[in-house]
Amino acid sequence: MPKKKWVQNVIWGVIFLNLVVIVRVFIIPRTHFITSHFQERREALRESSGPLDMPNQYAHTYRMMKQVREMASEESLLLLPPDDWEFGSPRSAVIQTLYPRKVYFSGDEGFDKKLSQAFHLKEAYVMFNDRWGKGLCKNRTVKHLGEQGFGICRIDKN
Amino acid sequence: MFWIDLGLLGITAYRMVSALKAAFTLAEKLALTFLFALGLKSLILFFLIRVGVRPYASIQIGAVLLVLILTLRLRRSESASGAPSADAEWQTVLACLLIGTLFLFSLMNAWFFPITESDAAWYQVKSLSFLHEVRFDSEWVVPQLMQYPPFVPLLFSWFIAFGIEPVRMIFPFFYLALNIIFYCRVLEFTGNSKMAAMLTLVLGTTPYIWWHGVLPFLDLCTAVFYSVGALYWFFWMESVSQEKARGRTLAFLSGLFFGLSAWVRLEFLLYCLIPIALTLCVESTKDGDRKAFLLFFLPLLIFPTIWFLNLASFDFSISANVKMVGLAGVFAWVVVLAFMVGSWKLQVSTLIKAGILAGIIFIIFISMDNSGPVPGWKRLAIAFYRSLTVHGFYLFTAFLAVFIFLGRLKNLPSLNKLFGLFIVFYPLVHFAIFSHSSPKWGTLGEYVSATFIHPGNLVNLSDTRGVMSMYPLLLFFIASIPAVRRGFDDA
Repeated sequence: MPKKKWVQNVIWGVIFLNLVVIVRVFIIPRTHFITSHFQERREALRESSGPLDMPNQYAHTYRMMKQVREMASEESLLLLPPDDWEFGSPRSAVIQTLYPRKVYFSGDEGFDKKLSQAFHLKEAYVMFNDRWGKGLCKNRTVKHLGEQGFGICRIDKN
Repeated sequence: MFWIDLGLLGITAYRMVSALKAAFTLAEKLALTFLFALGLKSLILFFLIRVGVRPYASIQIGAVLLVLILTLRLRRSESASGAPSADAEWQTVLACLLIGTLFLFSLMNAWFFPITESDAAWYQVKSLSFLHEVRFDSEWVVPQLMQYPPFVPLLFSWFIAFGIEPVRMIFPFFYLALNIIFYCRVLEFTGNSKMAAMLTLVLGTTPYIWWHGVLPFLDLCTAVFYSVGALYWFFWMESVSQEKARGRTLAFLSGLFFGLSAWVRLEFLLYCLIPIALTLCVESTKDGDRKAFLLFFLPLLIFPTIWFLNLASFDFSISANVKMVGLAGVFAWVVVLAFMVGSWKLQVSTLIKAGILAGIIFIIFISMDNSGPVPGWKRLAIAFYRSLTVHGFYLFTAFLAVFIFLGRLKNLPSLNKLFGLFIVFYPLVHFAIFSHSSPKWGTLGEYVSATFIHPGNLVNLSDTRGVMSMYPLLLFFIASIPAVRRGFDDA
């Protein structure tokens, strides 16, 4: 083998090893995921675990928010517990799913004012968990959201 | 409706690219058309929203049609027909097949997976607020994300306005465009299709870069814009003074893509200080073409300036980091204007001395700064450690940097050495940015542990993503090393 060929051999080696990583770490697991979830709708995929290389951190949140979106109209106001229940802050996933509904988290600036106004609105809800909001739903019809401690009730003037 | 808009946008962008006075192959023209089309679309949407017009699908089509009519005045460049053609070496065919397959797989992923990543979910919220509230400062977006430039969210809002759900479909095309342009540039530089194909294969199979072709983040877009800008910058610098029209075209392309990189991630304005300084050095040593100079700097600085002016109209206080980038932008404008107006000259040696002095002052300043949760000296140590270890995520491609140490660099032409300064300054700017900002974890030990025990916690941090732009430049520089070139002499 000519001496100068070593440069090409090194480059071929890098290409080969890169491909091994792509196939082993990304392509095989993703293909497996896609084939096992192929029949599912996009909505259901949001609630799945996601591919191995980018796990879905907000699967539980998407599962709950789907139910919230089905019951609350686009004009409604929603009051939620502090946004620390799933992997850091699930705020992005909540607003992404519920937009354009007005969503406020306990601890946000002006939250107390929104809470007092909510009782006089046409459509407002409180979503509670073990740590916040249960008292606000006392004596009201509660829907449990399927995740431990989470539920929702309507608190508006109706 | 979407396909009509896409068709009109494609024709408009293609007409613009065809009017460029430089020889490009059809593949490179198509890749440039894609980048032009997205840049144009983002600008149209930005101005529509800025003037309070809700960008309904019909309005978008009308706006693109208007731009298309304006481009009818553009004439096709005659030089385009003289584009170089590659001998179809088997390596080139293999590169097309492999990268094409990887592209198709990422396209399938982009179509299949919905947006669930935290940052990307925010981009989607931003895009929804652009469409429904017709404003850039929606109260539903957290302030940090609100300050991010609008490129990707604007493209998401384009898709959503036309009812297209898989918004991440644009990212695989960025991956493809990068590979095509890289191949064409290396081929033009070396005249060796085998070398161009093999280096493109290295780039295209770099796992981290391919991975970002399926992830809906900003970083692949910035990497494409920045590195493509740097490649055209090299050819602009290389163009001889007799080729004024070509030089101006390349200057414009370079400035445009550098500007677009800051239109995607604002801190790339800081990385753009590298080509700004290098250009001032080169222009100081020769009787430069002032028009080319303007064509480079105006698009480079206008994109981030537009966003800063927009930020100034927001009803909240801009973060200190963004203000600092804004100051760098003002500094860049002042320097460029001073250079244009005065007879000021900048030598490479002066630049290096100024860089060293600024670096020393910066390190002293940061090490004494104990205002944040992590003391300054610790931030420096963490940033230094991270600046070295992030390259581990680029795996085997990063290993090719050994070629730099094997070759006799003193034999390199001075222009290639100048391009090599990108590889030197880029990590330094990266280190400066990440030693200034607060680290995710407070101790070096946590970083070491995360690197070697839980690398999944580090793999997608912004500093790891931020060096993606460097790799096309590193591979292009490797193509200029004499020892590497000799290795392809049999081609």
